[in-house]
This record gives sequence, structure tokens and C-alpha cells, in this order.
Amino acid sequence: MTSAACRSFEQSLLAALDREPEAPAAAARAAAGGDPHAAACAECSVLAALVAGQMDVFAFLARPVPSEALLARLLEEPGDAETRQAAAEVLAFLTPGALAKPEPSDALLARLNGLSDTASAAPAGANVRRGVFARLRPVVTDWRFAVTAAYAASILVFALLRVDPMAAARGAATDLTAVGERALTDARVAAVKRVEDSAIGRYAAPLTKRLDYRVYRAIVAGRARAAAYSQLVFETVFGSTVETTRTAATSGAEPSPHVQRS
Amino acid sequence: MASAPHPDAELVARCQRGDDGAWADLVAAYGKKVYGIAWHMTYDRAEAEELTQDCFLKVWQNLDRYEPTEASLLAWIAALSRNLCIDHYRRRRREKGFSFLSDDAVSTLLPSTDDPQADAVRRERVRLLLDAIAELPDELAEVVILRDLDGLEYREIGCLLKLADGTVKSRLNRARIELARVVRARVGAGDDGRSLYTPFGTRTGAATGGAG
Repeated sequence: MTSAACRSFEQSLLAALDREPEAPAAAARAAAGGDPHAAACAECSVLAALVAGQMDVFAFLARPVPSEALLARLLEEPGDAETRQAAAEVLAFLTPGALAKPEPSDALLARLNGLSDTASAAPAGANVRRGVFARLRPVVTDWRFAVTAAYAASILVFALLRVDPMAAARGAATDLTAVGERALTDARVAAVKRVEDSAIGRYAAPLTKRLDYRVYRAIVAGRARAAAYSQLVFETVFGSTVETTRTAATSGAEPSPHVQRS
Repeated sequence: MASAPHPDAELVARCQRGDDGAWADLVAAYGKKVYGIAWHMTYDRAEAEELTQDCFLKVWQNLDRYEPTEASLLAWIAALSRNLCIDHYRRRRREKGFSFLSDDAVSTLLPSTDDPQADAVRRERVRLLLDAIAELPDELAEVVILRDLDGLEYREIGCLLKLADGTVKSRLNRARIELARVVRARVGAGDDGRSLYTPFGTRTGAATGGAG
């Protein structure tokens, strides 16, 4: 754990290294030797020893030296040397200050100086008007001015009409909500009707609703006719009356009145 | 009274005029430093040579853009070199199996002696130290490399990094202490670390030579 004393020693070690930039190893050893905390604290003494040791290592290491072959290659002039030398005069123009700055002609300067005389000869009123407009123009064209003016106009209108803006907003919102709800209800009814009238709606409805009432009546009549014919056949075959028509005639349910369209 | 032309500006102007001797002077003055920066960025001789060559080609191509009032020639060349090296380093890091520190790199820094056992221990320690430098934040690692490994002056580092001399010194000392802390963390609490660098002795002064 780094205590305040350890931090203090680190600062003194840094100061010692700053004092002896050319002999940092000796400075680190001297800082550790002369500090009572470093003598007692293992971490600090090891830190100083490591700093001194690593400086010894750095001093021990050889500096990498480029080979003779590399130095010889570096001395060779690049291939574009002649071209560059030829272009040197043109490239020299790119040096800052190499080219003279363009100066306005005396005639132009004289005309520019004459402008102030012409302006002062103009009527004072026109100058003032131009000056006021020029001063106001940056303010008027600023978007913040436009926003502020819009707010001010709104407040003025509300004050003149004695309208509570919040109440007006609430009323408008309520009206809008009512209109929206009505529109939704109408749309829902229309949609239900449209679905019922569509092929899908007809398919989903009960059989008696799906079929035209005339078809329904034809089926029921057909069934009754079939029962009557079968009764005749039975009477012919068995020679007695067979009660079949009653059940056949009463088995089908009548469609509800509102679908009896024919 | 006209002031004397800046020596860097004069050297550059001579190079632009096609003076072979001027270009040789420039290479002699800055070749080793550029190579050193490139080497410590790549830890590889072939790549450092390639980068050095690219750097001097760029110097040649941009000589007309050098402005002596803005930076010294060393700072300008070193900045070109540094940018090239950083681009190269980023490309290398993306490559699969990129090894930061090769055995060849350690051998370049530590010429063999008559004691192979001590050599082995020293190489292990140097590898530990250089790996720890790689763990430092870039701004701290940079000053340690430029000063303690490349041997640049404070003034030169200040010009290169656009820092005041005092800032360079304080940053360097902070980096050294931080480096010791990283090494301490790597060694572990079991070892007190005092004998870690014993094989290097307490000699001072830069050793010279090396394979390059």
C-alpha cells in the first residue's frame, strides 16, 4: 500500500533525478541512502534500487549502429535530383515572402481616397437613414429577433382579445379530440359494413345468411317435394300410408326475418 | 545589419543546389540518430534500415518545405522518421504472430562477452526491461527510448516532441520510476528485486559498438 511517506519519498526521488540528469543511477542511490523512510520501507528501497539498476542497464547497452552499406545507400543521390534542381527556381517561388505582394496602383488609391469626399458631399439625411438601416439590418435579419418578435406579437394579440391562451388551447384540443372520436366511430361502422358486404364477410356468416333467401326456399321446397315423392313410392310399394313429410317439413330452421330479402 | 543564415537552412540550401558534400554532411549528422530511432521502434535491423532509407528519401523530397524558423533540422527529420516508424509499428502489430522483441534484437544491444552464463542472465534482464517499456503509456515510453536508449539530448527530445526541456526532464524521471514499478510488478513480491540488475554492475557511460 502506498502511504504518504512513500509518496513523499517518490517525490524526493524525482527531485534527486531532476538534480542529477547526467547521473540518474547515482542520484537514485543517494536519495535512497539519505532518506530514513527508504531505509525502513522495503518497497521504497527496492523502487530506488530498480531505478538505479535500470539506469545501469541502459548505460550498458550498445547503441545500434547503421551498417556501412546503409550509409552508402543513403549517400547516393536520389534519381530525381537533376529534375528537382531544374525545378528549384520555380519551387523557390513557394517559399513564403519569395513573391512580391500585389500593390494597388496610385490611380486606384486616388479613386479610393476620393470616395470619402464624394460621400461627405451627399445630403446628411440620406447618410443618417443609410446608417440607421445599416445598424438595424444585422439585428432584424437575426433569427433570434424573428423568434422574439413572433412571441411578442402572439402575447399582444392574446392581450388585446383577452383570451386565455391555455384555455383556448385546451378547448381546441377537446374539439379536435371529439372530432377525431366521431371520425373513428364512423370509420369503424363503415368498415364493419364493408366487411360484412365483402366476400370474406359473407363466407364467415352462417349458411342461412350467406345464401340468397330464394335459394334457401328452393332447397326447402326441394326437400319437401322429395319427401312427398318418397311417400307416394312407399304407398305404392307397401300399400299403406307412411308419415315422412312431417319430420322433413319441420326439420329446417327458418331464416331470421331481417335476411329475408326476396 | 543582415543576420547570418541559420546553419540548418544553409545546409538545406546547399542540398537543394545539388551539393553532394552537403547531402553527405546531412546523412553523417543525422543518419545514426534516425537509424537509432527506427531500430528502437522496430527492434529489427532490416526493418530499421528500410525505414531509415524511406525517411531520408522523404527528407530529400521535402527539402523545399523545410522551414528553419519553425523547427531545427534534427526535429524535422526526427519527426518524419517518427511518423514513418509509428505507421510501420501499427502495421506490424496487426500482423499475426508479431513478436515485439526478437533474440536478434537483444543480441544487437548486448554484445557477447567471455562469460556465456552472465550473458544469458543479462539478455533475460534486458528482455524484461524492454518488455516493461512496451507496457508504459506511449508518452512515457517515448521519452525513455529517446533519452536512455537512443541517447538524444533533452533539447533534441524537446524539439522533437514540442516540449520544454523541463517538461522532458520531469516526464523522463516519471517514466523511469513508472518503469521500475512495472518491473517490480513483473518480478513479483517474492523477489525483492535488489539483485535483479547485478550482472550489469554499476558502470556508467554508454557502451559503444554493436552489430547494427
